[in-house]
Amino acid sequence: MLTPPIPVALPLLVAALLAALNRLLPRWLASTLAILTSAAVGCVAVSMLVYSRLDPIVYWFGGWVPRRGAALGIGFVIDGPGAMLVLLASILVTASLVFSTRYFDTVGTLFPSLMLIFLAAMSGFSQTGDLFNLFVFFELMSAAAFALCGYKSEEPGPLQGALNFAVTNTVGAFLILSGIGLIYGRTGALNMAQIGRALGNRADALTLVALAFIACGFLVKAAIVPFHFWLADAHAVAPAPVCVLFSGVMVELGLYAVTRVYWACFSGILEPRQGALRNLLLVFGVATALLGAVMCYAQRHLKRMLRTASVDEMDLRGRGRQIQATGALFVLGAAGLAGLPPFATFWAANMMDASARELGLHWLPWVSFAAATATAAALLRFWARVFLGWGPNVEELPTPGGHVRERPDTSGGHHRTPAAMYLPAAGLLALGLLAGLAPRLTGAAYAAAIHIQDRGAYAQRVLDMLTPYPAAVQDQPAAAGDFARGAAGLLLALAAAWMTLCWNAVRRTVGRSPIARALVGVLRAAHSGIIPDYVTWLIFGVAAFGAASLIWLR
Amino acid sequence: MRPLVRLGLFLVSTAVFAGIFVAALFDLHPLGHADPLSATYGDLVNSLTVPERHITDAVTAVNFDFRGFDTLGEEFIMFASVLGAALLLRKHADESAGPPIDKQQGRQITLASDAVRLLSVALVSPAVLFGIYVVTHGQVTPGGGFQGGVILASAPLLIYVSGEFHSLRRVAPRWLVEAAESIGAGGYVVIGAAGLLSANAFLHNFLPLGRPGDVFSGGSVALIDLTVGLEVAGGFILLLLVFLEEVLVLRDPI
Repeated sequence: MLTPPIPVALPLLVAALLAALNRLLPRWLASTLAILTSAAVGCVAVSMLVYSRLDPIVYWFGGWVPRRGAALGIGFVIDGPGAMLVLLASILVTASLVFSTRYFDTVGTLFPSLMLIFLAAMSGFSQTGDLFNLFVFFELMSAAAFALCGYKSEEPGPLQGALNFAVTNTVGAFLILSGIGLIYGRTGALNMAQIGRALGNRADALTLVALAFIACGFLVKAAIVPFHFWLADAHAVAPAPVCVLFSGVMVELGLYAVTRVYWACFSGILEPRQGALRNLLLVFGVATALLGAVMCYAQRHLKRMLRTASVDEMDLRGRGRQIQATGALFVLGAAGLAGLPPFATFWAANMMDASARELGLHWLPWVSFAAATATAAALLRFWARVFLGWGPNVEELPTPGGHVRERPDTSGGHHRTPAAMYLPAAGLLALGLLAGLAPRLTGAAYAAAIHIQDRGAYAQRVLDMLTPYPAAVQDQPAAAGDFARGAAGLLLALAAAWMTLCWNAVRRTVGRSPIARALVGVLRAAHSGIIPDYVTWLIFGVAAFGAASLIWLR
Repeated sequence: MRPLVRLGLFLVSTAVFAGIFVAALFDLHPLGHADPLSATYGDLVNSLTVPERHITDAVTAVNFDFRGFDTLGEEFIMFASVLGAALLLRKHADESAGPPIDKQQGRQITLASDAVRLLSVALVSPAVLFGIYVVTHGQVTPGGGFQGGVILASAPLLIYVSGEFHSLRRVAPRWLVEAAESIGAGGYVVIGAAGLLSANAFLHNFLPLGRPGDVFSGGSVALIDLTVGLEVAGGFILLLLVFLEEVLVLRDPI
């Protein structure tokens, strides 16, 4: 078996090569090498996706297979979701690299080099079955992302945004490391399957606090309220090709890590209290969706708007997020965000709603519908204002903080979007559409969900080399109501965009009403850009999560 | 947030945070009472390093063999951080490079005293020798590539302290340092790939293991130590060069 290390090793090797030849390689050659490497990782991911369909790939580095049920070394465990995330990361990195050939005017090999390290880190993060290795790739991802975020370092803004990003995420890393330390002190294991076995069924303060620390650390990366503050700042200042990676895959990886670690390690000790944990996570999730939607609608800075959109879109499909994309692409992207069929987001929303109804949470689909619609409305409003010229020139909503003049990301004329810029956007949108049309999509997703939740089967596969994985699951067709909801969401979003722009009475009422002003004012004041504020909210979130789990989950 | 509100929220949250952390620590085994489970991993490693890998320093065996893939990631964390610093401190279009003199106008520049210069020059060779020793003996005694690399990187720093910026540049030109760092980082991956091709497992040993306790022992672990030493030494020197250039060479637009 040669393939499992390739998505990590190949980009790292090429990154080192590019850095070594920093002064010798012409720029086009460096970009081409990086694009080819990223595309090759995508091909490997497809092959792993096919091979892991029925049985996950288990791979031991250095050939150190477990002895007496104890892992000696580090193992990769590649199943459907893991391979899919590697594929997503490689597609987005490839698109970003193509986009950046026209986006940046002066780069050596440092930019493609760091992008490839970012890709390697995301691949390792998705594939690993080892808790400490997960942390290593979390850190590697962060190190590359901080630098890429501050790329335009000749201005003060990007440095400030990157610093906010670095400080909050490093606090998150500390939390994860402390949690791993507690777990290692109890179990003597770092392999997730082995931890799951060793923890057994007993929940005590140590295991609950370790879970709280690890979960909160990854939720910082996932930008869940109240750990989300860094993402808006990072998005506002990072170059567009880097933003695509932040909200397109890095944020989702944070959620993936929580899912993976919970089911592999902690699901045994919390089996009797699963409902309570779900409610606790729902509080954080719903707060994120609602805050994201409100902030997005009240936002004028486009890139900031898109980041709040990523706060409430948590599925695994890539969408075009480039601001230079032409109007039609922009509308298609908004439709994808609204969950219009046949975009893959439509199926994701359906499945989430179905499982919410199964659990008796009949209000939850309405919350996600409202959040998705508000996000799409904000994007359509932007589109109507910029591409159609709707609405007045003056802004009614208050915009505290004043204006900061930003330099354009590209030099030269702006009358035409270069092909290297709109082709990646169009390609990503087409992939989002195609993924939604893929046969047996929902069945595969359900099967992956069942596999990821089966702690016993996971441990048997990893530690005992048995293959007890169950067979595939049937597709879940969409009902007429689901299609109607998708269409209604887009129409509602259009109507809302039109109303806020063109219906003077509504615009004035919303813009000048004291409630709206107060709400937006409070939210904007909370997103102050001041690091001590952010860290205080972070510690508050961890304390709340930890105390709640000690009270309700024991 | 107003500073007082923030302070209040922070203190309350931190108190709760400390409370739950301490509550968790009380569930650990008492100090000195080893957990039967965690003792297993230590026993396993101790029973395997000498017979199966001919490595007498078990920490090196864990770092570069059993969990060598983690260390590859750690090495690239440093690599990415140094590249990131070089990226952020690069010469921008509106900056110009000048001769290496202090950017701050009118600051009194004191040359290093003769005592400092003599001591620094005298320490350069021992630093290089000791660095090489620590890098090459990781598999036998405590130490290895990371520690030895830092010691090696201190040699050019001593040259800077004893002389001036241009003598540092002559000893460690940027292209050479960049190449050393990248070759060190890439070398680790190449060693891993060699294991993949020869033994069908990434980072599997592919060299003869030698006699335990000998400098030439430990198989590919000894080779990994060399690449890590190169990467760490190059990375630290590059970081030094990048920061000194930002302070001494590059000019803001006037």
